[in-house]
Amino acid sequence: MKQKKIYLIREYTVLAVLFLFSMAALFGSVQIFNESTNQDNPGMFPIFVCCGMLISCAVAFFGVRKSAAEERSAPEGQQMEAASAPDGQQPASGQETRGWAAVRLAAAAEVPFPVFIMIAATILYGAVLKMAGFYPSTGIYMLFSILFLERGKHVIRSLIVTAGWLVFVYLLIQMVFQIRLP
Amino acid sequence: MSAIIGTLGDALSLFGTPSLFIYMAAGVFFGMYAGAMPGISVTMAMSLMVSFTYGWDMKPALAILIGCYVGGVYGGSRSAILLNVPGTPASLPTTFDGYPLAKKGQAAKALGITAIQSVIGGLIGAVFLLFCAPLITQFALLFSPRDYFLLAFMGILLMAGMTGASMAKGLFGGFLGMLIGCIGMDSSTAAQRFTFDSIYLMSGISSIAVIIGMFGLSESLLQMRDMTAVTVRKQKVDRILPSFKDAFGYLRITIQSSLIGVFVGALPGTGGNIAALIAYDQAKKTVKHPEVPFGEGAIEGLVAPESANNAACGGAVIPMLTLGIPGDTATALLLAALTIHGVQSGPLLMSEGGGVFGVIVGLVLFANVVLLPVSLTGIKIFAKIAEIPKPVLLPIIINLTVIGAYSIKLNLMDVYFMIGFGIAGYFLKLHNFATGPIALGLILCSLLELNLRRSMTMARFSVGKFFLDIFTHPLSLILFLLVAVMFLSQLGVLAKWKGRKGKKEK
Repeated sequence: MKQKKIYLIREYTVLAVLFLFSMAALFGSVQIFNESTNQDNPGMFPIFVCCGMLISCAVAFFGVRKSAAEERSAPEGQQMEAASAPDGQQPASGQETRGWAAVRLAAAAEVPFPVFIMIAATILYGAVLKMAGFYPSTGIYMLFSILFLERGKHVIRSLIVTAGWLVFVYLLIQMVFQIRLP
Repeated sequence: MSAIIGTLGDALSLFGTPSLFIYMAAGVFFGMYAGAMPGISVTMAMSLMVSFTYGWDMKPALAILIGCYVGGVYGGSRSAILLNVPGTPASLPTTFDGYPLAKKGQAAKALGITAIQSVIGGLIGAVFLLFCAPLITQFALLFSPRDYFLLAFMGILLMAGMTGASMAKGLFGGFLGMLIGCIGMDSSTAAQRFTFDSIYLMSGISSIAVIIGMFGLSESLLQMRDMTAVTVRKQKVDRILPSFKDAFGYLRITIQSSLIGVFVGALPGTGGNIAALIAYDQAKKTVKHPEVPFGEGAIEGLVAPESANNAACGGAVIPMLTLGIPGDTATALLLAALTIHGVQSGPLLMSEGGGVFGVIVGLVLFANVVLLPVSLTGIKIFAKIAEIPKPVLLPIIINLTVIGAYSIKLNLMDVYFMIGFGIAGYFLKLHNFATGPIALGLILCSLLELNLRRSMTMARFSVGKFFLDIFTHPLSLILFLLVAVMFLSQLGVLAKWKGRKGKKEK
């Protein structure tokens, strides 16, 4: 039951975010429509698209509700099949799953620690790419990522892979494809 | 008939200049490896070639360009199978069954099958180009803007129903892709849409950056969720050449998909992307009992898109040569190359082109023959990629996505967009929103919008007249009914109706 509750919190949150995003996009589209005096209005197609997004989002919401209701009425042993998170990010038995504790668990299931770190590292890598240049920033990013994912093991292998990759990129991308990297 | 014999004669005249085959092989080789690199599209590889061959004679320039086109379309399947990142948009459906095969340790088998099927599909496309160019051109001329709109919308519906657990979520993805495609300056009225006065958004968001992020980065992040669950599969590479059964045992699907490829590819603006999707869907519908279910590594799921997208190469050349309208972006570059070399494509090319039509037909035909030996090279090395431990492979893939996004326009903004869409794709995939429909919505957005607006203009901006036009034109009506049936069947309405009818009869 705890797993299902957390799954539903995650699912409803994402659908709510997407619904709000679609509403905002529809608002923007209507503005584009109103700003133009052309008969061939540039806002027409975005309005059509945003209406499609809102309708499909609402249908998806009812789909989740329906499957949750079916889940509730299913025999005990079969309940978790549909609701289980695909990644093993399940709450431990005895863990509190009410109020903020449930939200915290849902957030942790949504973005586990390794993913959070790698997302942050990738954003940082993108940010320093221009300042530090491609090769130094890529070298640091690759070495950090491999070592982080390997949990600090195989340092020599990580160094060799990083160096080898940089040489490969230089030869193929810069020399063969003639692409000037930042 | 005399036109066909004349074209065949011009095509066979290529044997008089053996050096053309070397140029062609070089083009196929370059295109294949460029297509296999996520982010380096066939169009990009061809644009490099156009600049490179600017000062050459026409025939060697066309040989290397057409070789690059044919090789590039095939090459996209390599990264689709090994990394789950389609190297080209046309190899998107190849990921559905190709990647599961690689996960099972059968990457070499999958690569071998795609090589053979691409060659067969490409040859069928080239033969059709030779024999049916005038006929298909006449049929393509019958398509009105509303038919193109319906055809493109059908593509989105197909994709939405095929991928992911929920049709509603798939459709949301398709519409989201279209919305992303709307960003930038409107091509007809120059009005700014969702640009927030940013100069970077005025020219829109690169579809390649979005696709690389949604497929490459998001997949890598998803795989990082539980590194302990990730196991490295030893790939079987002892046998590269597929067995006779794998190569020719699915001949019905190969021919069916190739015909779809030729026909859809011949419709201007569509190309191999929709062709591969329709072929995949048709294979799914016609093969009732595959050995392995579709989406889990079905060979039929590899055969259909791969034969269709290479057959579409031949199809896409048809409107380019006979109408002067390119079938896709790659053929648009071919058209540019022809113009550079002083050849005017169009209805008169066949009769007054001095044999250029036949030469191009011959180059498309023989490029597919050359593709066979070239496509079987490097499979062992490529298959080994799938054996690299994930903690090493995933950062490499992420880095490749960054390089790919940057190479589009040598602009860091594309890298930022790619990272943003990659993170968004991670959350969407986590909640069963398939990214395929998003990519297709984005690719087809301009085609959909342009043709919808054209149809509305023709209907004098009256929705009633628009539908009246659909119901009074047989071709539009057939397409509309197909879209409606597809929509209802994917929602399960038809199955429910059949069920009720069956109960009543009992």
